[in-house]
Amino acid sequence: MSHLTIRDLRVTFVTPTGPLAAVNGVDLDVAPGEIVALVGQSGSGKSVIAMATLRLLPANATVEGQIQLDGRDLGACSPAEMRQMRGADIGLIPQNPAASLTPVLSVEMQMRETLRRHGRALSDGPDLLARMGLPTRNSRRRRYPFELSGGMKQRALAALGIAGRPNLLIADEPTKGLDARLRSQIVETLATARHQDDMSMLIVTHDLDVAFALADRVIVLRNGRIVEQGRARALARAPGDPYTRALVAAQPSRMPVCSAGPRRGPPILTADAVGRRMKSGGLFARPVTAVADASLTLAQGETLGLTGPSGCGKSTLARILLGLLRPDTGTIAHDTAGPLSRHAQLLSQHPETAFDPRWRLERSVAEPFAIHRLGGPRATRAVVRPLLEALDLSPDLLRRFPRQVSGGQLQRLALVRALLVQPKVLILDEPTSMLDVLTQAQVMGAIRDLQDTRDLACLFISHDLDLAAAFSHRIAVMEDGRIVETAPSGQLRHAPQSDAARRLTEAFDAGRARVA
Amino acid sequence: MKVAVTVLAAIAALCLAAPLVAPYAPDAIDMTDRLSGPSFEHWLGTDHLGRDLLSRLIWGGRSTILLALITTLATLALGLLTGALAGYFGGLVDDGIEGLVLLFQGLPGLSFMLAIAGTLGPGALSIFIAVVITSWADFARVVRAETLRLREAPWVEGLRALGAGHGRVLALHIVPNLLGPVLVLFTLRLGRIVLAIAALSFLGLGLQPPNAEWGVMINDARAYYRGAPILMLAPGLCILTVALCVNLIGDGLRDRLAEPDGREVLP
Amino acid sequence: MAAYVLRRLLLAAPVLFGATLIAFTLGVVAPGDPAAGALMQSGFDAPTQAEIAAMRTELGLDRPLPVQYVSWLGNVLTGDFGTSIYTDRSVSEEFARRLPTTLALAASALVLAILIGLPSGLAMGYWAQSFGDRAGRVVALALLSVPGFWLALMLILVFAETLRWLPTSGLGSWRHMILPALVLSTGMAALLMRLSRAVMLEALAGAHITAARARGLAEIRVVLIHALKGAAAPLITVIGGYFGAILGGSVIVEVIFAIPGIGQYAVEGIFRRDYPVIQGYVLFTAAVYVVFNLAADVACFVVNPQLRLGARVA
Repeated sequence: MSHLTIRDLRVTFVTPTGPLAAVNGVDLDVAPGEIVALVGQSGSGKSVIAMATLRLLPANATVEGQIQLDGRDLGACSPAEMRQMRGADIGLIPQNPAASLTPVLSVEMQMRETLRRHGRALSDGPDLLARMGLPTRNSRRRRYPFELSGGMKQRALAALGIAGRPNLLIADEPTKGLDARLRSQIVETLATARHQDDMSMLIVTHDLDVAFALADRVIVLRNGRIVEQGRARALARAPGDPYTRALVAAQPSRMPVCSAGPRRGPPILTADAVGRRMKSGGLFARPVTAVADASLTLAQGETLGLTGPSGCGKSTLARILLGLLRPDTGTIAHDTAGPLSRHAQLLSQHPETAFDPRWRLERSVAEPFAIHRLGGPRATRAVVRPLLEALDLSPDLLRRFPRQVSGGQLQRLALVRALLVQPKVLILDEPTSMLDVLTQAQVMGAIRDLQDTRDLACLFISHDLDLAAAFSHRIAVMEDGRIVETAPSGQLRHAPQSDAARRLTEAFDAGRARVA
Repeated sequence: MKVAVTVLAAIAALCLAAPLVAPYAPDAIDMTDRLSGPSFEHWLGTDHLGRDLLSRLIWGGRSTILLALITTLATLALGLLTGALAGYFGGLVDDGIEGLVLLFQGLPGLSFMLAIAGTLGPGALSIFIAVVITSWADFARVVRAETLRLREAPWVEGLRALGAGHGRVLALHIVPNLLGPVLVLFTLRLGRIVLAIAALSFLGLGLQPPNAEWGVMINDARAYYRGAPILMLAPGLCILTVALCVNLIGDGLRDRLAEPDGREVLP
Repeated sequence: MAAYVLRRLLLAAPVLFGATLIAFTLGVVAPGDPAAGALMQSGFDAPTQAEIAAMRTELGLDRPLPVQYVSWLGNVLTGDFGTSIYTDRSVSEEFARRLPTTLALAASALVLAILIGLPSGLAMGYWAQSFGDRAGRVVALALLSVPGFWLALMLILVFAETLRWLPTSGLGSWRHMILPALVLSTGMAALLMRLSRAVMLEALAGAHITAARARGLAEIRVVLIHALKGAAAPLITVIGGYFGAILGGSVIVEVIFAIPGIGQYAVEGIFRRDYPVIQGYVLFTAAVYVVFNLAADVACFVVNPQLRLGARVA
């Protein structure tokens, strides 16, 4: 008999623009002790299924269908019965660890109130936290959420989620927004929780690597429907449905490392021993070194990957290369006669904030033409049309406002705008980190095609080593504001020389090793 | 909100066209017809000097609304200028303006408004000065914060990378984006300033009798309102209606202009 | 804690300094020559130029403005706000005598506003978009739009003169305080309603609320502890600031209800062109305002562990 049984689940949200069907008839079983992963892109309805199980959807959601836990119909439970079951029968590790702990209560306090609520011994608290990797430190001082790092918050939430000893643990996007090292730590944490308590788990994730590493069974969702399901190993090796195949292929860890070798074109952008100190925070904040002694060259037609942990100075270096920030030391040399703003263009991390929210996209996309006085509407259209076609975008999109267009489309429109002035250098600052894997693969593929036809030089900034390796001829690794190693992608991925690069590749291999 | 706009527009039109629509002059004294109730000649009756109440309401609204509008606009202009300068250029300009804003926000506005208007002596000009001095800092603070937020918005940086100059960014992008929040702030402030002007006039610090002004009319009516409560009820309801309409519009604008992410334009 | 309070005090100092500058400027720009005024007050009906010049020297008005300011500031710092031109009595003593009345009025109004505004606003936020919430929002907006002086007169007309339930004016029993406190509290109650509604809405939208509910915690605990404890700081700040606003609003209420508080004194001073009184009023309300803002900051500091511990680390 299965532990959790969901039959013909349908969830619809009432929105200002009409009803929105998020889940369209899903059947799902989780057996006792089994780990099931729900995977899919954002909007596939996977988180909605998880929250519907807990009956914690917002008020504008209507739920139809049946959800049973150990034969008990959750839809028929009173709110009070439901509260009794939450935490005790179904535990949750919530999405968004940064905001999911109550900021004004210490972690110990939140642990105690949860234990008390479910009639557990208060003395279990320190032990639970320790098991999740948050040992009580020497002092008896309480720890408040703001004192914890992102990974520590996630582990505290995991400890809180299993505090009531639930038989079913739901983990909603447990690795979203975490870098490679933290991701492998969370995977360890979840595996620990399972081995020690023998509970069943429903893991909701967009990350196929995490799903394959942890789950016994994987269910692939698309637009609120199940596309395919199967044993994790079998599905990882031979996905059946074309959608699953595309999803697996779009996983950066499964992309082949770029084998094209370094380009030997003329250098088009050279940075020589660039340094910059930045002030952040208040009036009296001390300036910190953001970039120090960084040198790189970018050849025509080449993609140089720039990678490193978050906060290592990648974005600051990009702004210096674009002339948006002046370096304190060192020099930047562009091989160009015209203005820098036509020679080099930027594609930023957040497509949804790339355009003036109060302008129609048509006007925004054409703005470089107006700025550089390159021609009127007719000339603009003549240049924009083929670019739209090349990027598989409908001209209708141009009549909309930015918020009416999806992130992937916006990023491609931003690319159109950047290419309008026919730059020689394109600086891509985490261009796909806010996008789904499939959209990511699509955008990156489009950039690679354009690069080939236009002989563009690209600086590709990414925290994802696998993604950088798949799309770059060479990779530069940054740590603490310094470029510690630059090597052809294959060489860096498989035989890193510096300690920093080695640490980085190991963290990415850790996620992969569990799958194989 | 539609109702509020219609009502306010009707009142404003009526008051601004006072010379054309008011049946009598606001200061036409008729001692033979004092404190008469509503009649066919005087729809709302007459006051203690036999002046037509309806005409005085219309002329009084003209004074109140015009003074409130001009004062709020001046406050807005000062706040917009200082706030946008501080927000966009930062540095020393910002530090200086920010210091002044903190100073004025740290002081009790109403008490200072009263003291300033009182010291300068009764009259529309002293009300104007008192209100502007004690209200500009709020505008400046909001405009500064909004400008800062816009200046650091990724799309503004993107425009700089595309080669757009400071002038283009400010004129075509930042200022139009500021209009929404500024409009909301203007409307909500206008409601408060209407009340403040009426209160100062009531105390005898604003327009002087025999001028018609709603606050002045309420003060005039104090001695007679037991016998003729309409003398006090009517101007009070006028102030209430105008302030309520303005506030309703402000609230409606705020909801309508809220960013797509649900972030409200103003607290 | 002590360090935090000290830092706040240091920030308050420039504000008070600014208040003295404004008060001094008011005295300078005020129409009329204080020397001539002082002479007329002491019986000279038509003082000659020579007499006025002598008086200017005696009052120190012939010195440069910065010098005058420094000596005036010295007096103010020792608690001497000068003497009233009209009554010849010490301004600071008069303020000290009248302050308890105004403070009692302001405190009752504050308590009323909190009792009315806070629970209703929080309930409106919890049951947002319900009928009660919609009605409450209109009521709050209406209260915000009522001219206080008119409301006071109408309440007197209804409750004191027609129904004869309450006294019309003056001081005496607690019944004298009901109408003035009610009028004084309306605007603040309305603001507090709107603010606490917004605070509740925002607090409930936090991801940590869903997380707390998912742990099965009782709803009352989720709302009161997890949502509101963190949201207390903005409410406290605003309530602290309101107290200063009440002082300004008390002027009209004191005039209408004939309550001998500092507001009434200030208005008398204004109409008698009694500048030391006006200056004293400005300085006095500024000081009270700064003190209450400071108190609110300290209260926030106590409820917010991040500030508390952050200060310890720094």
